[in-house]
Amino acid sequence: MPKRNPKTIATINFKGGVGKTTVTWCLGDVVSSFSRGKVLIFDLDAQMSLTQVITLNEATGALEERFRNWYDTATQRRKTIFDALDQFTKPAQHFDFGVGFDFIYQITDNLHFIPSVEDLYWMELEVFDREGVKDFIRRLLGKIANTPKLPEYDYVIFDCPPSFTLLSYSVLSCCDLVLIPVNPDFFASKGTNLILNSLKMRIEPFPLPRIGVFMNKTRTWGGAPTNEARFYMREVARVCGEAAERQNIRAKFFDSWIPERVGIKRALTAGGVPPELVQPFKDLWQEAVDYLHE
Amino acid sequence: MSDGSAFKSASEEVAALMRELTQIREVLRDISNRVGQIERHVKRAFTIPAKDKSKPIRQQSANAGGVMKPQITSADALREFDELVSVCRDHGPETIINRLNAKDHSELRVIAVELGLPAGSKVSRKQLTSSIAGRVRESLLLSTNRNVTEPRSASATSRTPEEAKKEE
Repeated sequence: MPKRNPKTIATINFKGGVGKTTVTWCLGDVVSSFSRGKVLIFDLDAQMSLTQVITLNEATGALEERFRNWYDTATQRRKTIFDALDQFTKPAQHFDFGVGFDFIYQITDNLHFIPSVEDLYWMELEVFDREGVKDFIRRLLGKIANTPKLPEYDYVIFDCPPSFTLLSYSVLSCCDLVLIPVNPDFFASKGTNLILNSLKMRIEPFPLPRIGVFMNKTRTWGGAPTNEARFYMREVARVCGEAAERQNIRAKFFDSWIPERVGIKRALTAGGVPPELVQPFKDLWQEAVDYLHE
Repeated sequence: MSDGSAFKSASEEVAALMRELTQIREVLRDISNRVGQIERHVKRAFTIPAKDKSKPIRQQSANAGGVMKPQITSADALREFDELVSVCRDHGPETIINRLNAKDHSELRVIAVELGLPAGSKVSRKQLTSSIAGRVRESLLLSTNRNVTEPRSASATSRTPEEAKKEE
């Protein structure tokens, strides 16, 4: 029986520092730990922040030994995301890149991971044809779904770089939901309008994914967002509503919000999503899944 | 057994014991990691539920250090802000400054508080007006962006066949 296709979610914002990596990791961790879902996460950012968060040993400051050994083997055998892309973009060659657990790292039974490589920095120079890349992620996911030794993933979450790269284009051309984290400040909120009003024309003629925007790093007072945070929530919700109407796109500002948490990255490398953030991420996930099935 | 004896020497015994102890230490470290994982999972799974967001919470009050009781509610303040944005868009920033100047100090404070601006008793009328006007400008900027380039696909499809022929 053929495996069902997983739901694909891309975390994106052209503004850096809004918490894309943290959100991707926290969602992956919360869903794989507290639901029955199997999750595959991709680090598509050449900065490799997600790879480091997942695999850095907080005590030693070095990569976890198990991951380091696996990663060394993967790079030696040319089984990285860059090698897959390199193979895909070679002219007149069939895409027969084999995918298995030498390409996918198993963090836990329910959470698997495809790390990034720094070579992705130079990809834009070497591969300049966007049409040559657009189907890459869709074909790669097809291979993963059709490989019997790999599990049936329920969700695939992509951590995208803070710019519109060829890989982002490839993800956006085939994903089901775009998650845009914003922060309660002017510069972090400003990008929302740009993305919402540009995505459609940049990725047409492909079907536009649903877009979910939510407030991340929300400053709180007495357990609720501060008035300043509420001001930006209201403004971003308005921008979403206007863009959805003007561009005829499915964009929604989520009610769920993630509170600001000092030292979140350190907490993640030390042992996963901190207990006080589990429920906010569960709420966010539930809203995202409901939206996907609307 | 370097001295030809059938038995291990004391130093060889010590080395063998050290190897065993190292193995045991690794096993214990694995167990400790696993127990740590279980402990973290339990803490996260059965944590005290987050505060109910739907419950009314204490709001930052406009009258905290206050002198006069404001005549408008929070909802009025937000409605007034929306009107200011709309007026600024249609008639320019001077109009909203005039409109804000016509308001009571207490009303300005309520609006400022709702917009998350500093509004203590020592904040002057001029500061309140200027910071509210700043939020109005922010609101307008948040919904504007201008792409100076057109995507390839859009420029290719937006031409009519006649235009395409002319260009050729």
